[in-house]
Amino acid sequence: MEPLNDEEKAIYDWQISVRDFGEAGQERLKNSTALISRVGGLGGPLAQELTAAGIGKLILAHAGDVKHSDLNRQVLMTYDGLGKSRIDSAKRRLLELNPRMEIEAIPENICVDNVAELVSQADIVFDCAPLFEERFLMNRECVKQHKPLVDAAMFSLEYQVTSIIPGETPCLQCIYPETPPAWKRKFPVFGAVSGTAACIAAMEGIKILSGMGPSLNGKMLYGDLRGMTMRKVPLQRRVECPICALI
Amino acid sequence: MKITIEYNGQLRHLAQRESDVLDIDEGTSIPEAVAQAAASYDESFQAILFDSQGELLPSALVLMHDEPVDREQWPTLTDGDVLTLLPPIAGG
Repeated sequence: MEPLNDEEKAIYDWQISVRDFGEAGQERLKNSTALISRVGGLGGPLAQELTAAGIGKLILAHAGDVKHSDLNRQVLMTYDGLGKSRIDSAKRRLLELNPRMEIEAIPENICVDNVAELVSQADIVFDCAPLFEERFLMNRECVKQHKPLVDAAMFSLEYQVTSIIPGETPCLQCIYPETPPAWKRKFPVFGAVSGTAACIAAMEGIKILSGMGPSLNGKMLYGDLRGMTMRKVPLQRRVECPICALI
Repeated sequence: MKITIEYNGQLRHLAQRESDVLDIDEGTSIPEAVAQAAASYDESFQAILFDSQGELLPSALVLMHDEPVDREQWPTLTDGDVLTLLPPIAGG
């Protein structure tokens, strides 16, 4: 494992003092790779928090160019980037924050053709896609490759985050056995809500990677920024789950 | 007897409210109570909860006093119970 250099010790000094994290946790983070599916309203600030915290490598997957309607929440995108590649903008902004890290920027969304290869390169996967089909692909592959998956999602002023540890916790298809038929691609969103979910998911990932725990394993954190409430919902494995029942 | 049904996600958005208080008969099951609540709203609300056969979709999580209910053995509803509906969300 590559140790921290003097500059890194100075940059991360204030978080190295966090109980149960320390220099050992920071070193584990430096030597970790995370895959983030989409870097929009949720994945963007999530990538930013992992970058600021000192993760060693990010693999980012997101297709398409920046649109006007992205700019209320996609904090890695900028007005002067309208019409240009989202993933290039994300990579540029993140490297401004942390030029020491490695970023692999994939100008594609997660799909059947790339999911196995991308998951295989990561120590942890963050699922921030707006479609269940894409989320189910990552869930299936993470279970198959025994990789932790942090699943984060939001709608309007609500958000939810859970961690899926294959073999230990329910997987995404234990929670949602089938593609929910009524989910729509366009959803109401404030950047402050997707950003809240992103920060919680980032912290969850940092805890899993560094071993500082405890993480949400087997529970879903459900937050409501209208009523300013949070609850932890226990989740159950399904014995007949076609994805994780046999592991 | 009266129970409360709390809405979240798309349900809250479509209902334009956080909850309803329902007056139900003794012996009403949880799926029946949810159907009774959903009947006050339009088809898009109902499609989040029920399939075309009227079965409660497994993707709609149902909590009773903040704990998930056992769908193999639906618990009996009593006066004052609070059900929470957490429909699936995937906004990113």
